[in-house]
Amino acid sequence: MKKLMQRFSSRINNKLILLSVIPVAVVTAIITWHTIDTRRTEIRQYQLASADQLAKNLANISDFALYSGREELLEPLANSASKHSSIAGIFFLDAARNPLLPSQLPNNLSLAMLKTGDYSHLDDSFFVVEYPVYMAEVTINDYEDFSEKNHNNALLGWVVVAADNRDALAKSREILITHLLISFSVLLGAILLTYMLSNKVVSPIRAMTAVVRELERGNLEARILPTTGDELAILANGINHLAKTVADGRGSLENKVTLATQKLTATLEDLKRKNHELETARKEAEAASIAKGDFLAQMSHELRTPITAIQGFVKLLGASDLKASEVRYCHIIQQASAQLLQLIDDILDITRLQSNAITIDKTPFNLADCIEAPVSLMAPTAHGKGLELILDIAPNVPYHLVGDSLRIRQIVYNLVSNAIKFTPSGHVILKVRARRGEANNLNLFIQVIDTGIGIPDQQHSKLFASFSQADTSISRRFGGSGLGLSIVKRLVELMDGHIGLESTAGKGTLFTLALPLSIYGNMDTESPPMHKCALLFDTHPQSRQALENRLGRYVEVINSCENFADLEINGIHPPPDIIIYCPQVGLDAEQMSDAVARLRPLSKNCHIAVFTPTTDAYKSLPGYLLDTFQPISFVDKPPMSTELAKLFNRHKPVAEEMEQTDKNWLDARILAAEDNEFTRILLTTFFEGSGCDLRLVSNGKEALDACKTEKFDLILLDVHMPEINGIMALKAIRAAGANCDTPVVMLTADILQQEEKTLFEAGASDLVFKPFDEEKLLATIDKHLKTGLSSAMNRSTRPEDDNKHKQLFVQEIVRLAELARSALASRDGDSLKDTIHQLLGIAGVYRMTYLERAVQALHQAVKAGNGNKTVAAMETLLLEVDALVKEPKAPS
Amino acid sequence: MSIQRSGNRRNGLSNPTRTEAIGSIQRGLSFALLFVALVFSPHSSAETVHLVVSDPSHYYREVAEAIAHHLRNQHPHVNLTRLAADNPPALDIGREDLLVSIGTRAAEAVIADYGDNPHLSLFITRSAWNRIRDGANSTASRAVIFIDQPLNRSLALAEIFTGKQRFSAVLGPVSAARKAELLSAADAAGIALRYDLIATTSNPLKVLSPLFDDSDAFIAIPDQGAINRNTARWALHLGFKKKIPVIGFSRAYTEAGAAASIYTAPGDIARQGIDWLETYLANSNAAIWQPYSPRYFSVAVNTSVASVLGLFVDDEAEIRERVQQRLEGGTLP
Repeated sequence: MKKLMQRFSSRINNKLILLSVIPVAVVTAIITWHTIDTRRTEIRQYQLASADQLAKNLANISDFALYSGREELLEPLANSASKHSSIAGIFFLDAARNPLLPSQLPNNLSLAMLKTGDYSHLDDSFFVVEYPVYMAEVTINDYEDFSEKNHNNALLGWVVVAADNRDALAKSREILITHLLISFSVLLGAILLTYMLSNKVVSPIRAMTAVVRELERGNLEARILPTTGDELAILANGINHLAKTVADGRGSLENKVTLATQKLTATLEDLKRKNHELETARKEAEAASIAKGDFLAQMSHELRTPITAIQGFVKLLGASDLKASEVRYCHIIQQASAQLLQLIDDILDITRLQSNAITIDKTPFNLADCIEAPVSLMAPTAHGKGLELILDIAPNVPYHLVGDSLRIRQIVYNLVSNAIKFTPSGHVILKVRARRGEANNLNLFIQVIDTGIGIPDQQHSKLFASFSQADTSISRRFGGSGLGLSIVKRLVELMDGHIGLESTAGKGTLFTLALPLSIYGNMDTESPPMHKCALLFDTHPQSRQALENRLGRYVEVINSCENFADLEINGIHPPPDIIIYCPQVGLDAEQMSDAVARLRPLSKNCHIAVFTPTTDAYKSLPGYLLDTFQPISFVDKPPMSTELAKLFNRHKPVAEEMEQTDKNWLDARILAAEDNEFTRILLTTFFEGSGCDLRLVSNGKEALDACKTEKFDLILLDVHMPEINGIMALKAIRAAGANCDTPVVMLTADILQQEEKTLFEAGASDLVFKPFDEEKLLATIDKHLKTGLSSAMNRSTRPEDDNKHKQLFVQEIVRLAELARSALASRDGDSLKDTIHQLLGIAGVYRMTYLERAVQALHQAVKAGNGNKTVAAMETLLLEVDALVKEPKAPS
Repeated sequence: MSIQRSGNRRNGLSNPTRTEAIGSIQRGLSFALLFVALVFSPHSSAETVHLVVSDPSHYYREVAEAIAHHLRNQHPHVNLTRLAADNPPALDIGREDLLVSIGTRAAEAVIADYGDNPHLSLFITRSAWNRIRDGANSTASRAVIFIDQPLNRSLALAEIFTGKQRFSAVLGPVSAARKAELLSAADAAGIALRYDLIATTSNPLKVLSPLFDDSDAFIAIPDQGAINRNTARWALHLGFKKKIPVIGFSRAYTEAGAAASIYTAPGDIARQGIDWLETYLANSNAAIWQPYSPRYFSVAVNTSVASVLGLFVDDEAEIRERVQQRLEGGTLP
């Protein structure tokens, strides 16, 4: 119904009809209702008044008859009144409401009603009016005093008039029907009239609407034909004008759009062409960049080889009997070649960083080793320049962290070497601080502070750019490639860290480094210091402060003295367990001896530790000192953590500690199948002292034989092995036998994705790449054996073992390189592949980048089947091997 | 209702501060003076008259004003006051002061509060006077002028009005006492009178109807037990039906439908009261202290009714004159 009404009222002529009909209908209804009601009320009132008047009149004239009891007088009254058609009956009742005349009662009226006077049960067609009849009175006395007292009007009886209402009702109905007919006629007339008028008004509007719809559909040629001269005609003309304007405008706009589109198309074509050109240029640039990188890498490699040879021969030459000037020349050549080598290494690093070839490792490491190694390496240089090199590690800095120790070491090396380089006098301080975050997170802050030449403000921004130094004169004065800080910045960013610079020209520079790292395990729990009191005597304030921080880990109370005057005035309370004397750089041996001589009397039995600069001047201390001032010991400054630990006898040296911790950490039976002898040696070394029962075999067949007779807790299988390879052996192990459920860790130097999938489908538990990283291998073993190997994570090989292994490594590399060369010469592809695979497995053991790269290049060339490249890569490998053989010292 | 007594009289009788000797002399003098005043001094010397009016009705006021007017003009030495029966007196009333009550309630108040004073009662019916006189001091000087017209005057009016001598009348519980008067008057006038008694329980219509059957006029005698507001109408109704005139007793009844009436108008009362006061003031003696019937009367005629009944009538003054002549020609009561 609502929808119907909405649909009906949506059209304008229907709205007009509604607008006119609704008020007419309402007014007509109100008038009709009012008229009918008024007329009916009038009829009813007339009926009622007539009956009432009749009853009153009868009451006035019937009093005598009622008083006298002469009923015969009432009859004519009743008869004459009853002649009226609307009167159904006249009844006279005495005072007790007893009917006096034997009249015929109408159907609706009963004797009981007359008796009680209750006529409420009568229907609408009948009504009754009654009137009391009192005795009429006349005034007969002139004076009030003589009138009757307490006179009551006596009730004589009742006159009851029964009126028939049917005629009145019939008349009401007639009135109702008549008025309704009139109203309907009026309404109908109004609707017709409105319809006609609205049609006249609406038809032009409809015509306009139709034209507007046409215009909406896009037919802008549609026009309205004005038929009237009123406002609608004006509106129609307006719409026509508007349509014409829009049509004209659209035509013009279309032309413009067409033109614009053509221009746009041309521009797009141009852009496309330029994009294509740009893309080509970009590819070319990338190719050029790659080529540049390759070229730099190649060139670096090509340069390293002759430089290494130069260094070797200069060293040999220096050892021969030469004149002083010749020795000096050799030294210069040695320095120049070292600088050249450093420059080449830097170029190689920056190239790798720019091509995103470096990924940041996240493995557990010892921060003390990581920081102290480059510092101790550079200490002789700093001390040689007369600089104090101070290492200040706050006591709360944890040593066992997770991160890329190699890159942190490189960063520290670059910053400290940079500081030493640009500091002609004063000191270089390396401060290490830490702030713990949530869980095991930690922010490590490293500050390198120097009192060097400083950097002007305007140079700060380009300081970290590649091949850039503060100004060109720097290069001339101090040398260097300008790559160090750029490398540092890139590495820090790769580690999600931040590096900042504060510097004032002529006063010095402060580099602040923030690195987000995480703490490894719970190995830094504090244990109480074993020494109660130490006397620290150091005249250099920053050095003294740094030593206080570092000694705080080992000593409860440190008494620091700057000079002997303080010492003499204040005395020492309590007496020291140990005296630390840190002579300033530049102090000669005699001065230092004097100082020791003055310190000795302070405590005759306590140990004196002298942290000496690393210059040659202190190498030959007077021999009597050792005898006179016993117990006394000498440590290079800045002291290493291991040296401090040893000195204070609090902890055993770190390596020793590790060794102890490692003992018997792995109570398991392990089978390792590896065809390469060197890798087998490495595995033997790795598990040596772990307490495990290691069974080593050299191929898959032997492994299967072992598995038939023994049950192992873990099996390590090399993928590429003679006889039966690792995959087949794995399948056989998983197929049946006591070791079908034993965890099997596969070892491989290189694997295709398909092979990896095959491995895990065959039942491999894990995969470790060769050369295996000891920590990764430990983590993998821990994962499968749940032995809690965390304490063994900082394993390190004993130096004598390391040297031995390195010799074996070199021998193995030489052997494999010769095998490869023979295989290539005899065109034995399988042998060549096997050999290269073994080379891949061990080439990275000592992180020999160039050797690794050479092996990788050979591997790629063989895989690609490119003969020329294979020959070239073989030559490069042989050169690297040759360099390895000839290298006087093992690379660090 | 009461009239407060206050002032010298009471104070003089009850003053406790006098010595006994003085008290005895005073009492003796008082009695002597009272005796002289009662026996020898003429009433003209009693110069205080109080007019006590029942209520402010115009007819009482008319009587009071007529008397006051007369006294002020003719006897200016008389102290005249006007009192309302319902209100306390503004002045002290002396024991010898004459109290003239106008109306029944005024008479009741005077008898109740000043029962020992000389008292003239005006504007009162005989029956009312008889009622209030009971229990009052019988030795006091009292005179009363009734408003009840003697019945012979009604008979005379009926005779003059109809020219016939067959009349009927009805006596009620009160008017029954006047039966002798009625019969005597009829007898004296040679009138054939038919009458009946009406009891409180009987239907008045049934009593009245037969009396109209054989009569030339119906004499209405005032008695609420017989002719009251209701029955008076039936009498008129019957009279109309039987073409018999009803001789009434008031102007109101005449106006209601009676053909004519003999009645006592306020002027008639005032006039007779003034007559009495003249006598009282001129020579007061014991003879004046008695009841009087009204000496004067008035006549009212309803010409319309008379016309309907086919009677030719003179104007009221003429008829009154003829009634007066008729009465004077006959025996006066």
